[in-house]
Amino acid sequence: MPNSSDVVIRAEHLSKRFMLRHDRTGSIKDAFLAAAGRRRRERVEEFWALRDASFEVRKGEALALVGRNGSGKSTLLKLIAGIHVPTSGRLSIARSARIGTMIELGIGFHGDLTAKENVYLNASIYGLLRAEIDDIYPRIVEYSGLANFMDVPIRNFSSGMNMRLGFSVAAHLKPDMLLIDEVFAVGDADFQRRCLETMAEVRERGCTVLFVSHSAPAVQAICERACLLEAGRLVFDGSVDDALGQYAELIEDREDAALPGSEARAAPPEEVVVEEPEDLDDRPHRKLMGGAWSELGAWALDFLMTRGLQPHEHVLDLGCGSLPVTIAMLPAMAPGAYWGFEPNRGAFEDGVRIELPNAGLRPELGHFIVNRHFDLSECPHPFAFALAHSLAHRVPAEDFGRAVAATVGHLLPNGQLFLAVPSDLTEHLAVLTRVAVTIDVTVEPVDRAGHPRGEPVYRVVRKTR
Amino acid sequence: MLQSQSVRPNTRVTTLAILPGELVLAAVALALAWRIRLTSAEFAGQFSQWMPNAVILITAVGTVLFLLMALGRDGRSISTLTMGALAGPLLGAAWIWNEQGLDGLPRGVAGSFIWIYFLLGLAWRSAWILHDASAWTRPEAEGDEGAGGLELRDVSRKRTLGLFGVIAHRELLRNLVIKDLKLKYRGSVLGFVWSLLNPLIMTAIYTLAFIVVIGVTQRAFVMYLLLGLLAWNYFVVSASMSTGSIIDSGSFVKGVYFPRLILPLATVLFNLSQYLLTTVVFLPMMLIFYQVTPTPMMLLFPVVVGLQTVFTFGVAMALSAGTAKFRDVRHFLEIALQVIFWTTPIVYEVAGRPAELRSVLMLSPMAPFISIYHDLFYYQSWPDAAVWMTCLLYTATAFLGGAALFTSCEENFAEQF
Repeated sequence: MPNSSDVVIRAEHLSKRFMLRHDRTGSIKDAFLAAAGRRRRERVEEFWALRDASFEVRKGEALALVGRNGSGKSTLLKLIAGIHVPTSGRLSIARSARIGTMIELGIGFHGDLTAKENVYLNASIYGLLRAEIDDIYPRIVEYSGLANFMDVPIRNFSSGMNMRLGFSVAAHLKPDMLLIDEVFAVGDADFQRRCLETMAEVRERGCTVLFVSHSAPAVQAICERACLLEAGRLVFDGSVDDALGQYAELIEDREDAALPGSEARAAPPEEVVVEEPEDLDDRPHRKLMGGAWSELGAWALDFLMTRGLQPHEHVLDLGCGSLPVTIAMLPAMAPGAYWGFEPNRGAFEDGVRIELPNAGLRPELGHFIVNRHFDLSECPHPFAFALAHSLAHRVPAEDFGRAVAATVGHLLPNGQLFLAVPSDLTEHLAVLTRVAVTIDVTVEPVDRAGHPRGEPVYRVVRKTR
Repeated sequence: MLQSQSVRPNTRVTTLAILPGELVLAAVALALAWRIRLTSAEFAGQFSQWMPNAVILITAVGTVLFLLMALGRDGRSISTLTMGALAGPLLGAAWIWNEQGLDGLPRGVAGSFIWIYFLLGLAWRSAWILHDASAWTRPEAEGDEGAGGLELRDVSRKRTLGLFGVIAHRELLRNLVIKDLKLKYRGSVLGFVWSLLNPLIMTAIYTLAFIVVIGVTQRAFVMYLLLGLLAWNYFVVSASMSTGSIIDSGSFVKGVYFPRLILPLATVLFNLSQYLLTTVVFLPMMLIFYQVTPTPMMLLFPVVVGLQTVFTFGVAMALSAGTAKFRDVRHFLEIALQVIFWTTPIVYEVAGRPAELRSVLMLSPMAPFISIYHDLFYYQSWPDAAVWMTCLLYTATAFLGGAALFTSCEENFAEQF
């Protein structure tokens, strides 16, 4: 490396592991039972959010971190901010550096305090002393444009005003190093423009910037270097254009969406199309599912629960479509236990855009895979249950067979797959029989399944030897 | 949970090297257990009588610990301490009782010994954990940083007790305390009067129950009650509030780094301010009403408040970290506080009770603090040396134990949400 003396961040083989505890009750009883070996140890799953990342950042550089959701960008930022501690590897940061973070805005804001009191509290969280806050306070007020509201308790503020206030404080901390995590994604166009202007000023001051974003224009405007992360690994480190190009390729390659959050965040509630309740069932994406949209969710949850589904077990909603079953199952299952698969991107996106917000749910509570070729390889663990409640009539027989085979491949040894197949789809049933012989599974009809559209339900399990 | 994960030179030598220290701790614990039971003169007079039995007891503790370590247990773990502190004294006591009957070693002394030795051992081990944690953060010499370049700091292992960070973040601490105070009184008509009404009404109820209904005859009972109740309120409210210090501050903990220690500390300091405000109003009132002449020993009041604050802060650290891991801590605390309230001399006097009972009650965690308040203002006598010792024992154990627990859990707080 040319000159190591102006390195302000050095990461060597940095890794971070999270322990995902399913069935997170956090009670002493569980700890005792686990310690006494009376119960099988708590279901703990390892999740490596970051693996073996090494890089250096020099003073005054602006580095973008790009990658899909869950690729480890935010974790990396939080490690540098000191919020998380690395599991292994070494992370060194310039001793003299004052780190400013825009990971969450308006930390500690309390509705009953006035805007002025909140500014003082918020700024002191970043380690500023009273005199320093007194010093920047006038500029914070001016920048936020809320001069007339500073003595008003912020519970009367709109969310936009809150954000402006939080950003104004963060923008005036005068750090040597600024860590930004997608805070621009929220906020209107005017806010985003001002954010970019502020970033430019910050850069001119010689401040080192680390910027996590999905917005290509923002990354291009602010940064000269970019790191691409994929599944916790640093896969590319170089110019912004190259990194964005690779990122685009990555998304096209695996056109599945690892979903999360971005859809919901990109579409603030104001923009959600809220239709009149009476024409709900006329909606094309609901019709596409084959009718009885509203009844499917309750039925599917009840059907699987009576067959032994536990909230922490992984369940696959095969052909989740416009998410009727998702809406019933997300609140009932442990976070991350629900997985949905859907070949029709349009139906799925309508579900995320319209149905989930209407039901007050966030897609991050579950996982979704969207692709046309029934590729479930993205899913890291086998399922205890899988259910295809509305898939058969929407896909050709060949695809249906492929879906069944792929799903059985992702089942626990004693896992069960349930398929609703209308009795008039003889071709599908023939394919199902053929597939069953090939992959050595038993297919048997389920008595009194009670499917809302009266479709027969078949149970698919591996043969025991 | 208190297990430190440092890389220790895990040889028999280090294990055995801790034995002499353990024996000293046991000796101190036994001396204190006897001293709580006897007055200073009796303690000196009966020294030759209990000395041989003390040797038996301490030898038993040493033997049990030695056997445990010989079996490969880590002498510095809490479980070894628990076994050594329980099995050792019980073994020694059984020997003594078999030889000399109950006179050789009163059961109260044996029980006190087990408890005090356990607390001392806990404090000592916590100090080790804190020491190990701070040893990690000393930066290794960075060979490749040229002179004039930027010095890099390894932040991969951040596990010190963040007391220095608290100084850097003092403005935050101040703002958090002010926030709590503002929120408490904002929008209420009576404001600060509520803080005075609470102890007043409690005092009225207990006075009614104990003087009128039960018929206790004690001079200046109201003053006795208020002294205890105010100090008790300070402790109990701090403890209950501190269970939420971490888990109710999600956005703080997830969004930015600062020494998490500030959160429980702010809770305790907020309640300290409440305590001082109520005391400033009530204490002079009581002294004037009951025509108590001020004595120089009343100047010790700030010292006791300081000790109680350190003790409460230690408890608050343990509770806030414990609740972040196990939500059960909250429910457990509710019951524990009831038990501690009735085992502390707040609504009753211990003076004049049998020595056995007095020595056991003195070991209730809040008892030494409240006894000292009573001694200073109500009895106007010097607190006994044993009470001071117990007070220091609880302060040190709570602070070191709480800090060690907090430090070893701190890095996981952000992952608990």
